[in-house]
Amino acid sequence: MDWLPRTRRVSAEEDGPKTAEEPDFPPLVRAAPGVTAMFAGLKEDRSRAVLDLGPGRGSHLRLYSRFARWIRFVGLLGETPHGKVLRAALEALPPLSQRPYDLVLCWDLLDRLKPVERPLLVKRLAQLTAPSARLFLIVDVSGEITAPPLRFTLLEGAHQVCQEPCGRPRRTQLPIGPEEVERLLSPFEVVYSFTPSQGLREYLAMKGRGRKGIRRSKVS
Amino acid sequence: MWKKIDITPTATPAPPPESRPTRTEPVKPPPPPTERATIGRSIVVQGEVMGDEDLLIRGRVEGSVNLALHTVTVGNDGEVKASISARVVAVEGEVEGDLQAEEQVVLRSSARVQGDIRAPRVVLEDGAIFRGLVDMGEPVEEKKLRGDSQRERPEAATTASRSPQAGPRGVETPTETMVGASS
Repeated sequence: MDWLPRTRRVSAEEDGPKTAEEPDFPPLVRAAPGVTAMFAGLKEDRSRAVLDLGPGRGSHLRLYSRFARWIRFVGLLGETPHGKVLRAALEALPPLSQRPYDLVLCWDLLDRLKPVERPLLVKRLAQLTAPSARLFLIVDVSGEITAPPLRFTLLEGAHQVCQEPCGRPRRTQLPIGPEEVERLLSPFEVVYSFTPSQGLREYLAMKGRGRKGIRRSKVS
Repeated sequence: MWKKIDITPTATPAPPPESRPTRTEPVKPPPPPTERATIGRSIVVQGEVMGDEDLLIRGRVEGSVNLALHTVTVGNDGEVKASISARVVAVEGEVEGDLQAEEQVVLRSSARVQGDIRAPRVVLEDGAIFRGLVDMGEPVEEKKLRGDSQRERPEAATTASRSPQAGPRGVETPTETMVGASS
Protein backbone atom coordinates (compact mmCIF):
# COMPACT_ATOMS: atom_id res chain seq x y z
CA MET A 1 0.00 0.00 0.00
CA ASP A 2 2.96 2.28 -0.15
CA TRP A 3 1.80 3.57 -3.48
CA LEU A 4 -1.47 4.93 -2.08
CA PRO A 5 -0.09 8.31 -1.05
CA ARG A 6 1.00 8.88 -4.61
CA THR A 7 -2.26 7.96 -6.24
CA ARG A 8 -5.87 8.83 -5.69
CA ARG A 9 -9.02 7.50 -7.24
CA VAL A 10 -11.25 10.27 -8.52
CA SER A 11 -14.06 10.63 -10.95
CA ALA A 12 -13.69 12.36 -14.27
CA GLU A 13 -15.36 15.47 -12.87
CA GLU A 14 -12.57 15.88 -10.40
CA ASP A 15 -9.94 15.91 -13.05
CA GLY A 16 -9.43 19.63 -12.85
CA PRO A 17 -7.02 22.09 -11.38
CA LYS A 18 -5.52 21.21 -8.08
CA THR A 19 -7.33 22.66 -5.10
CA ALA A 20 -6.03 23.57 -1.72
CA GLU A 21 -7.73 20.54 -0.17
CA GLU A 22 -5.87 18.09 -2.31
CA PRO A 23 -2.96 16.43 -0.61
CA ASP A 24 0.54 17.12 -1.67
CA PHE A 25 2.70 14.37 -3.07
CA PRO A 26 6.00 14.47 -1.27
CA PRO A 27 9.13 13.18 -2.96
CA LEU A 28 9.60 9.49 -2.49
CA VAL A 29 12.96 7.76 -2.38
CA ARG A 30 12.84 4.13 -3.36
CA ALA A 31 14.94 1.39 -4.83
CA ALA A 32 15.48 1.41 -8.57
CA PRO A 33 15.87 -2.27 -9.42
CA GLY A 34 15.20 -1.76 -13.10
CA VAL A 35 17.96 0.79 -13.48
CA THR A 36 20.28 -1.37 -11.44
CA ALA A 37 19.58 -4.36 -13.65
CA MET A 38 20.08 -2.27 -16.74
CA PHE A 39 23.65 -1.38 -15.86
CA ALA A 40 24.54 -4.61 -14.07
CA GLY A 41 27.14 -6.67 -15.87
CA LEU A 42 28.29 -3.86 -18.12
CA LYS A 43 31.96 -3.09 -18.28
CA GLU A 44 32.83 0.45 -17.31
CA ASP A 45 34.78 1.13 -20.45
CA ARG A 46 32.81 4.15 -21.61
CA SER A 47 32.35 2.65 -25.02
CA ARG A 48 28.57 2.92 -25.29
CA ALA A 49 25.95 5.43 -26.20
CA VAL A 50 23.06 6.33 -23.89
CA LEU A 51 19.76 7.87 -24.85
CA ASP A 52 17.82 9.35 -21.95
CA LEU A 53 14.39 10.63 -22.91
CA GLY A 54 14.28 12.71 -19.75
CA PRO A 55 16.03 15.99 -19.03
CA GLY A 56 19.72 16.26 -18.26
CA ARG A 57 20.61 15.63 -14.64
CA GLY A 58 23.96 15.59 -12.94
CA SER A 59 23.45 12.32 -11.12
CA HIS A 60 22.30 10.63 -14.31
CA LEU A 61 25.29 11.94 -16.20
CA ARG A 62 27.55 10.61 -13.49
CA LEU A 63 26.11 7.14 -13.77
CA TYR A 64 25.97 7.00 -17.54
CA SER A 65 29.50 8.29 -17.97
CA ARG A 66 30.83 5.20 -16.23
CA PHE A 67 29.63 3.14 -19.15
CA ALA A 68 29.20 5.49 -22.07
CA ARG A 69 31.07 8.08 -24.00
CA TRP A 70 28.02 9.49 -25.75
CA ILE A 71 25.06 10.56 -23.64
CA ARG A 72 22.05 12.28 -25.08
CA PHE A 73 19.35 13.91 -22.96
CA VAL A 74 16.21 14.52 -24.94
CA GLY A 75 13.89 16.07 -22.38
CA LEU A 76 10.64 14.70 -23.77
CA LEU A 77 9.14 14.29 -20.32
CA GLY A 78 8.79 17.93 -19.37
CA GLU A 79 5.97 18.86 -21.71
CA THR A 80 5.18 15.55 -23.32
CA PRO A 81 4.25 16.22 -26.95
CA HIS A 82 1.31 14.56 -28.64
CA GLY A 83 0.04 14.08 -32.16
CA LYS A 84 1.98 15.82 -34.89
CA VAL A 85 4.28 17.43 -32.38
CA LEU A 86 5.19 14.03 -30.99
CA ARG A 87 5.78 12.63 -34.48
CA ALA A 88 8.02 15.55 -35.27
CA ALA A 89 9.86 15.17 -31.98
CA LEU A 90 10.44 11.48 -32.59
CA GLU A 91 11.61 12.09 -36.13
CA ALA A 92 13.93 14.77 -34.81
CA LEU A 93 15.55 12.37 -32.39
CA PRO A 94 19.02 12.41 -33.83
CA PRO A 95 20.90 9.20 -34.38
CA LEU A 96 24.51 9.19 -33.38
CA SER A 97 26.89 9.33 -36.28
CA GLN A 98 29.38 7.20 -34.36
CA ARG A 99 27.16 4.30 -33.34
CA PRO A 100 23.56 3.42 -32.48
CA TYR A 101 22.38 3.79 -28.93
CA ASP A 102 23.10 0.91 -26.58
CA LEU A 103 21.11 1.97 -23.56
CA VAL A 104 17.76 3.77 -23.60
CA LEU A 105 15.99 5.16 -20.56
CA CYS A 106 12.38 5.79 -21.35
CA TRP A 107 11.22 6.44 -17.77
CA ASP A 108 7.43 6.80 -17.72
CA LEU A 109 7.05 8.27 -21.17
CA LEU A 110 4.98 5.34 -22.39
CA ASP A 111 2.35 6.13 -19.77
CA ARG A 112 2.18 9.73 -20.84
CA LEU A 113 1.46 8.93 -24.45
CA LYS A 114 -1.91 8.10 -25.91
CA PRO A 115 -2.32 4.44 -26.83
CA VAL A 116 -2.07 5.15 -30.55
CA GLU A 117 1.18 7.03 -30.02
CA ARG A 118 3.00 4.36 -28.08
CA PRO A 119 3.99 2.21 -31.07
CA LEU A 120 5.50 5.29 -32.72
CA LEU A 121 7.89 5.72 -29.86
CA VAL A 122 8.95 2.09 -29.80
CA LYS A 123 9.37 2.02 -33.57
CA ARG A 124 11.61 5.05 -33.48
CA LEU A 125 13.66 3.64 -30.62
CA ALA A 126 14.10 0.42 -32.56
CA GLN A 127 15.50 2.41 -35.46
CA LEU A 128 17.98 4.26 -33.28
CA THR A 129 19.33 1.40 -31.19
CA ALA A 130 21.96 -1.29 -31.55
CA PRO A 131 20.98 -4.94 -32.05
CA SER A 132 21.53 -5.79 -28.38
CA ALA A 133 20.34 -2.51 -26.91
CA ARG A 134 18.72 -2.34 -23.50
CA LEU A 135 15.55 -0.40 -22.80
CA PHE A 136 14.35 0.71 -19.39
CA LEU A 137 10.87 1.98 -18.74
CA ILE A 138 8.38 2.55 -15.95
CA VAL A 139 4.69 1.80 -16.22
CA ASP A 140 1.94 2.84 -13.83
CA VAL A 141 -0.03 -0.21 -12.69
CA SER A 142 -2.16 1.39 -10.02
CA GLY A 143 -5.43 1.50 -11.95
CA GLU A 144 -7.73 4.21 -13.20
CA ILE A 145 -6.39 7.22 -11.38
CA THR A 146 -5.15 10.69 -11.61
CA ALA A 147 -1.60 11.26 -10.61
CA PRO A 148 0.91 14.03 -11.03
CA PRO A 149 3.55 13.59 -13.67
CA LEU A 150 6.63 12.32 -11.96
CA ARG A 151 10.21 13.41 -12.14
CA PHE A 152 12.82 10.74 -11.50
CA THR A 153 16.25 11.52 -10.15
CA LEU A 154 18.83 8.83 -9.55
CA LEU A 155 20.34 9.25 -6.12
CA GLU A 156 22.83 6.51 -5.45
CA GLY A 157 24.16 5.45 -8.76
CA ALA A 158 21.77 2.90 -10.16
CA HIS A 159 20.31 1.77 -6.86
CA GLN A 160 17.98 4.49 -5.65
CA VAL A 161 15.68 6.95 -7.32
CA CYS A 162 13.76 9.92 -6.01
CA GLN A 163 10.38 10.32 -7.64
CA GLU A 164 8.56 13.57 -7.12
CA PRO A 165 5.63 15.28 -8.76
CA CYS A 166 6.44 17.92 -11.34
CA GLY A 167 3.01 19.25 -12.20
CA ARG A 168 -0.61 19.15 -11.23
CA PRO A 169 -2.34 15.76 -11.10
CA ARG A 170 -3.93 14.67 -14.31
CA ARG A 171 -5.92 11.75 -15.50
CA THR A 172 -3.78 8.88 -16.58
CA GLN A 173 -4.31 6.46 -19.42
CA LEU A 174 -5.57 2.97 -18.73
CA PRO A 175 -2.82 0.92 -17.15
CA ILE A 176 -0.70 -1.15 -19.47
CA GLY A 177 -0.56 -4.79 -18.45
CA PRO A 178 2.55 -6.92 -18.72
CA GLU A 179 1.34 -8.67 -21.85
CA GLU A 180 0.52 -5.37 -23.47
CA VAL A 181 3.96 -4.05 -22.58
CA GLU A 182 5.61 -7.08 -24.16
CA ARG A 183 3.55 -6.64 -27.29
CA LEU A 184 4.22 -2.93 -27.46
CA LEU A 185 7.95 -3.23 -27.00
CA SER A 186 8.60 -5.58 -29.89
CA PRO A 187 11.34 -5.93 -31.22
CA PHE A 188 12.52 -5.44 -27.64
CA GLU A 189 11.98 -8.42 -25.38
CA VAL A 190 11.23 -8.01 -21.72
CA VAL A 191 13.92 -9.70 -19.66
CA TYR A 192 13.10 -8.34 -16.22
CA SER A 193 10.17 -6.67 -14.58
CA PHE A 194 10.08 -5.31 -11.09
CA THR A 195 7.34 -3.99 -8.86
CA PRO A 196 8.95 -1.67 -6.36
CA SER A 197 5.67 -1.32 -4.40
CA GLN A 198 4.79 2.20 -5.46
CA GLY A 199 2.11 1.38 -7.97
CA LEU A 200 4.75 1.37 -10.64
CA ARG A 201 6.37 -1.45 -12.55
CA GLU A 202 9.83 -1.20 -13.98
CA TYR A 203 10.76 -3.10 -17.11
CA LEU A 204 14.08 -3.95 -18.65
CA ALA A 205 13.93 -5.11 -22.23
CA MET A 206 16.59 -6.17 -24.67
CA LYS A 207 16.56 -5.96 -28.40
CA GLY A 208 16.99 -9.18 -30.31
CA ARG A 209 16.72 -11.37 -27.25
CA GLY A 210 15.06 -14.79 -27.39
CA ARG A 211 12.09 -15.51 -25.23
CA LYS A 212 14.07 -18.12 -23.35
CA GLY A 213 15.76 -15.30 -21.52
CA ILE A 214 12.59 -13.84 -20.10
CA ARG A 215 12.68 -13.68 -16.39
CA ARG A 216 10.55 -11.71 -14.04
CA SER A 217 11.39 -10.63 -10.57
CA LYS A 218 9.43 -8.87 -7.93
CA VAL A 219 11.30 -6.56 -5.64
CA SER A 220 9.53 -5.09 -2.66
CA MET B 1 48.87 69.27 26.30
CA TRP B 2 50.36 66.58 24.17
CA LYS B 3 53.19 64.57 25.49
CA LYS B 4 56.05 64.38 23.19
CA ILE B 5 56.96 60.86 22.25
CA ASP B 6 60.50 60.16 21.57
CA ILE B 7 61.09 57.52 18.99
CA THR B 8 64.11 55.60 19.93
CA PRO B 9 65.70 52.82 17.99
CA THR B 10 64.85 49.37 19.21
CA ALA B 11 67.02 46.34 19.52
CA THR B 12 65.65 44.98 16.28
CA PRO B 13 68.30 45.32 13.65
CA ALA B 14 67.30 47.44 10.77
CA PRO B 15 67.19 45.81 7.37
CA PRO B 16 70.04 46.52 5.09
CA PRO B 17 69.66 49.84 3.35
CA GLU B 18 69.59 48.34 -0.09
CA SER B 19 66.40 46.45 0.70
CA ARG B 20 64.44 49.50 1.80
CA PRO B 21 62.21 50.99 -0.81
CA THR B 22 62.88 54.57 -1.40
CA ARG B 23 60.82 57.24 -3.01
CA THR B 24 63.03 57.25 -6.01
CA GLU B 25 62.65 53.53 -6.65
CA PRO B 26 59.59 52.44 -8.61
CA VAL B 27 57.25 50.29 -6.55
CA LYS B 28 56.76 46.91 -8.14
CA PRO B 29 53.04 46.55 -8.95
CA PRO B 30 51.19 43.46 -7.87
CA PRO B 31 50.72 40.82 -10.52
CA PRO B 32 47.86 41.85 -12.75
CA PRO B 33 44.68 39.82 -12.58
CA THR B 34 43.89 37.63 -15.49
CA GLU B 35 42.59 39.79 -18.24
CA ARG B 36 38.98 39.25 -19.03
CA ALA B 37 36.88 41.07 -21.52
CA THR B 38 33.21 41.62 -20.88
CA ILE B 39 30.31 41.86 -23.25
CA GLY B 40 27.93 43.99 -21.26
CA ARG B 41 24.25 43.52 -20.77
CA SER B 42 23.20 45.94 -23.45
CA ILE B 43 25.68 44.72 -26.03
CA VAL B 44 24.58 42.59 -28.96
CA VAL B 45 27.24 40.86 -31.01
CA GLN B 46 26.47 39.18 -34.30
CA GLY B 47 29.32 37.33 -35.91
CA GLU B 48 32.51 35.64 -34.84
CA VAL B 49 34.11 36.49 -31.53
CA MET B 50 37.84 35.72 -31.29
CA GLY B 51 40.60 36.86 -29.00
CA ASP B 52 43.38 36.09 -26.59
CA GLU B 53 41.85 36.63 -23.18
CA ASP B 54 39.03 35.32 -21.06
CA LEU B 55 35.55 36.49 -21.88
CA LEU B 56 32.46 37.15 -19.81
CA ILE B 57 29.25 37.37 -21.79
CA ARG B 58 26.49 39.28 -20.08
CA GLY B 59 24.82 40.45 -23.25
CA ARG B 60 23.72 38.69 -26.38
CA VAL B 61 25.92 36.90 -28.87
CA GLU B 62 24.84 35.30 -32.11
CA GLY B 63 27.36 33.54 -34.31
CA SER B 64 30.39 31.83 -32.83
CA VAL B 65 32.83 32.32 -29.98
CA ASN B 66 36.34 30.94 -30.36
CA LEU B 67 38.82 31.48 -27.54
CA ALA B 68 40.70 28.23 -27.65
CA LEU B 69 43.16 29.01 -24.85
CA HIS B 70 40.87 30.84 -22.50
CA THR B 71 37.74 30.70 -20.41
CA VAL B 72 34.38 31.77 -21.71
CA THR B 73 31.72 32.49 -19.13
CA VAL B 74 28.11 33.08 -20.05
CA GLY B 75 26.76 35.08 -17.16
CA ASN B 76 23.30 34.97 -15.67
CA ASP B 77 22.12 37.64 -18.05
CA GLY B 78 23.89 36.21 -21.04
CA GLU B 79 22.02 34.91 -24.06
CA VAL B 80 24.11 33.08 -26.59
CA LYS B 81 22.94 31.60 -29.86
CA ALA B 82 26.31 30.46 -30.97
CA SER B 83 28.80 27.66 -30.82
CA ILE B 84 31.45 28.25 -28.18
CA SER B 85 34.95 26.81 -28.35
CA ALA B 86 37.34 27.50 -25.49
CA ARG B 87 39.61 25.92 -22.93
CA VAL B 88 36.91 26.15 -20.27
CA VAL B 89 33.26 27.03 -20.84
CA ALA B 90 31.09 28.02 -17.90
CA VAL B 91 27.41 28.74 -18.35
CA GLU B 92 25.10 30.50 -15.95
CA GLY B 93 22.68 31.88 -18.51
CA GLU B 94 21.16 30.64 -21.76
CA VAL B 95 22.98 28.99 -24.60
CA GLU B 96 21.57 27.59 -27.79
CA GLY B 97 24.49 26.05 -29.58
CA ASP B 98 27.30 23.59 -29.24
CA LEU B 99 29.93 23.88 -26.50
CA GLN B 100 33.42 22.53 -27.01
CA ALA B 101 36.15 22.77 -24.40
CA GLU B 102 39.69 21.52 -24.11
CA GLU B 103 39.38 21.07 -20.35
CA GLN B 104 35.83 21.22 -19.12
CA VAL B 105 32.33 22.53 -19.51
CA VAL B 106 30.49 23.72 -16.43
CA LEU B 107 26.72 24.21 -16.41
CA ARG B 108 25.75 26.11 -13.28
CA SER B 109 22.41 25.60 -11.60
CA SER B 110 20.89 28.54 -13.45
CA ALA B 111 22.09 27.41 -16.86
CA ARG B 112 19.74 26.59 -19.69
CA VAL B 113 21.54 24.92 -22.54
CA GLN B 114 20.36 23.28 -25.72
CA GLY B 115 23.15 21.90 -27.82
CA ASP B 116 25.90 19.36 -27.86
CA ILE B 117 28.79 19.36 -25.41
CA ARG B 118 32.21 18.02 -26.27
CA ALA B 119 34.72 18.10 -23.43
CA PRO B 120 36.79 15.66 -21.39
CA ARG B 121 35.03 16.84 -18.25
CA VAL B 122 31.48 18.00 -17.81
CA VAL B 123 29.98 19.53 -14.68
CA LEU B 124 26.21 19.59 -14.50
CA GLU B 125 24.89 21.23 -11.38
CA ASP B 126 21.51 20.42 -9.95
CA GLY B 127 18.95 22.75 -11.43
CA ALA B 128 20.68 23.18 -14.74
CA ILE B 129 18.47 22.51 -17.73
CA PHE B 130 20.23 20.70 -20.53
CA ARG B 131 19.10 19.02 -23.69
CA GLY B 132 21.61 17.62 -26.07
CA LEU B 133 24.48 15.24 -26.46
CA VAL B 134 27.45 14.93 -24.15
CA ASP B 135 30.59 13.54 -25.76
CA MET B 136 33.45 13.11 -23.32
CA GLY B 137 36.07 11.83 -25.67
CA GLU B 138 37.86 8.57 -26.03
CA PRO B 139 37.14 5.73 -23.64
CA VAL B 140 39.62 5.30 -20.83
CA GLU B 141 42.40 2.99 -21.97
CA GLU B 142 43.15 1.77 -18.51
CA LYS B 143 39.80 0.06 -18.39
CA LYS B 144 40.79 -2.09 -21.32
CA LEU B 145 43.83 -3.34 -19.47
CA ARG B 146 41.64 -5.18 -17.02
CA GLY B 147 41.00 -7.71 -19.74
CA ASP B 148 37.58 -8.63 -18.57
CA SER B 149 36.41 -10.89 -21.35
CA GLN B 150 33.22 -11.93 -19.67
CA ARG B 151 30.29 -11.53 -21.96
CA GLU B 152 28.09 -8.66 -20.96
CA ARG B 153 24.66 -9.64 -19.82
CA PRO B 154 22.05 -8.07 -17.60
CA GLU B 155 21.98 -9.40 -14.10
CA ALA B 156 19.51 -9.19 -11.31
CA ALA B 157 19.51 -5.99 -9.37
CA THR B 158 20.87 -7.66 -6.30
CA THR B 159 24.01 -8.77 -8.10
CA ALA B 160 25.38 -5.30 -8.69
CA SER B 161 28.45 -5.02 -6.54
CA ARG B 162 30.02 -1.68 -7.38
CA SER B 163 29.63 1.16 -4.97
CA PRO B 164 26.86 3.28 -6.38
CA GLN B 165 28.37 6.50 -5.14
CA ALA B 166 31.60 6.17 -6.96
CA GLY B 167 31.75 8.08 -10.19
CA PRO B 168 34.33 7.43 -12.85
CA ARG B 169 36.76 9.79 -11.15
CA GLY B 170 35.33 9.86 -7.69
CA VAL B 171 34.70 13.57 -7.81
CA GLU B 172 31.33 14.35 -6.43
CA THR B 173 29.41 16.72 -4.24
CA PRO B 174 25.76 16.59 -3.28
CA THR B 175 24.87 19.37 -5.66
CA GLU B 176 27.43 19.04 -8.34
CA THR B 177 28.63 16.36 -10.64
CA MET B 178 31.91 16.24 -12.45
CA VAL B 179 32.49 13.47 -14.84
CA GLY B 180 35.03 12.85 -17.51
CA ALA B 181 38.46 11.65 -18.36
CA SER B 182 41.24 11.58 -15.86
CA SER B 183 43.74 14.36 -15.98
